[in-house]
Amino acid sequence: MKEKKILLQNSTTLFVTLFFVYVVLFEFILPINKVLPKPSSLYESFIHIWSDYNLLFAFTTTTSVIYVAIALSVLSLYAGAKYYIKLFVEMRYSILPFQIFKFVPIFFIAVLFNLWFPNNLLAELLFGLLVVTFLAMNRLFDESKKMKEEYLLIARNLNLSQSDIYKKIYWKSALPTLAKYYEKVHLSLWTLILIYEFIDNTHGFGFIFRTALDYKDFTALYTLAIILSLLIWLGNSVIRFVNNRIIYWSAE
Amino acid sequence: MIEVKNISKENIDENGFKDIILKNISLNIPSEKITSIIAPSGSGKSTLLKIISRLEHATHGEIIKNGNQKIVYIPSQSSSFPWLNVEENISLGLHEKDSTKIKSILSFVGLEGYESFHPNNKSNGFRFRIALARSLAHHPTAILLDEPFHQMDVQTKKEILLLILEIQKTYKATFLLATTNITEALFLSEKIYLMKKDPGEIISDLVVDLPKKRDESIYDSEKFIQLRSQIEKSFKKIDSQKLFNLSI
Repeated sequence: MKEKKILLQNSTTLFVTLFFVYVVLFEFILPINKVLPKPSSLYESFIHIWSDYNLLFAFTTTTSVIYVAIALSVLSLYAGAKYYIKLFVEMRYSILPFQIFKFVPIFFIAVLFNLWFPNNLLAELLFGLLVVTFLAMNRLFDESKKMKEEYLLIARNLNLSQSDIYKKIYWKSALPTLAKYYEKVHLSLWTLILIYEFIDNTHGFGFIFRTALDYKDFTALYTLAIILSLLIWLGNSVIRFVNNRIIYWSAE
Repeated sequence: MIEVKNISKENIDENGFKDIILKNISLNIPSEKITSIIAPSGSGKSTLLKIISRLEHATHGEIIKNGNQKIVYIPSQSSSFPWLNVEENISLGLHEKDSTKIKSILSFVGLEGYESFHPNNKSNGFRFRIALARSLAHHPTAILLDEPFHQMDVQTKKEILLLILEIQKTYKATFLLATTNITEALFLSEKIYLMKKDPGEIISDLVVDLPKKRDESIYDSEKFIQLRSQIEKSFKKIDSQKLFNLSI
């Protein structure tokens, strides 16, 4: 708790100092350059993005795709955990060869989806859902292999059914790691969806990035980056808060 | 009474070589008494307990027990589930939950008032009490303890030793304890088997003829010291260089 407080204090001090230095240097001392924009132009750029690039629509589409994909993936995992784990445990050696697919670049899948379903929001959602589910399943598969022997011995000794062992032991044991992993998945999904929209070039934050790049709108790129950083930080904080509320035990 | 007859366990390693873990182990575990196996680390104690509780198969030999006896195995670590609270941990696997019975067990093992607590971040002693309570809720005929005092502080160890004696007396439970610690085994048991490693084999057994009522004063008794020295000598006979990681 004390460490957290110190960390928060230090981070705030660091941020305020850097911000102050940035404002002084780039607003009053240095000439206009291509390293960092003037602080005052960032504010103007925000209004400009809001009206000209339709920021609200981009915000709605991108965040909807990301968080609906995550929510659907979590729901499907919760609903089918028992069956997935049964599959992973009982057919471990048949599934292992499929792990080769984790080396396929997801960028390629994004390009392929854009080729098959251009300007299609549902396809983007499907892409997001497939990516999150694949990553989470892969993690669940790894966790099912690392299951503590003691837990299984106790469960078998108490005559728990195999189905109960999958649901009450394997799943619960994997949950803390899996939940923590969703924080990483969240960050990866933001990047992948931005790439998807960048290629698609019709909607979302990725589209705004591409347009800003086409127009060489240097300040807009920075403003977008700040907005996205805040959104990702907020999303991550919400996921962490929910995880801490639901999962009160550690993986040990 | 549980009778272990000529149990052997062999494994084939990755290179196809036969690895003998247990060799011709025979034990008589008397009912309503505490029996111990003292053996060095890596001698196959845990494997033997798992075989007795039917969690593992032996290559040869058999386990003879009266009727449909329930044998509960408590591992040395992770003996309770951190995602379940104390009450849920205890009633796990029970077909019919008898709240009065669970309450009385909780009170007996010193967990009254902790029903809604989770074992996560709690001491090994707390977790072990949960495991003991869960075992009792399943009406066992025998409880197998695998290195129960692993990573416990001295005070907790003292309390748990007395608790095991109390459970044995009150519930007329049969205990089989596997440990590397000679003092713990002597304090609790009425019968002790000594086991060597590579391969795991019983080298001798002895009846502990100490008074039934035991407390800390027993450690200083002449008989206790004599028995401890006798056990140490038995192990030294096999390997004069070292005492096989045994603790005194």
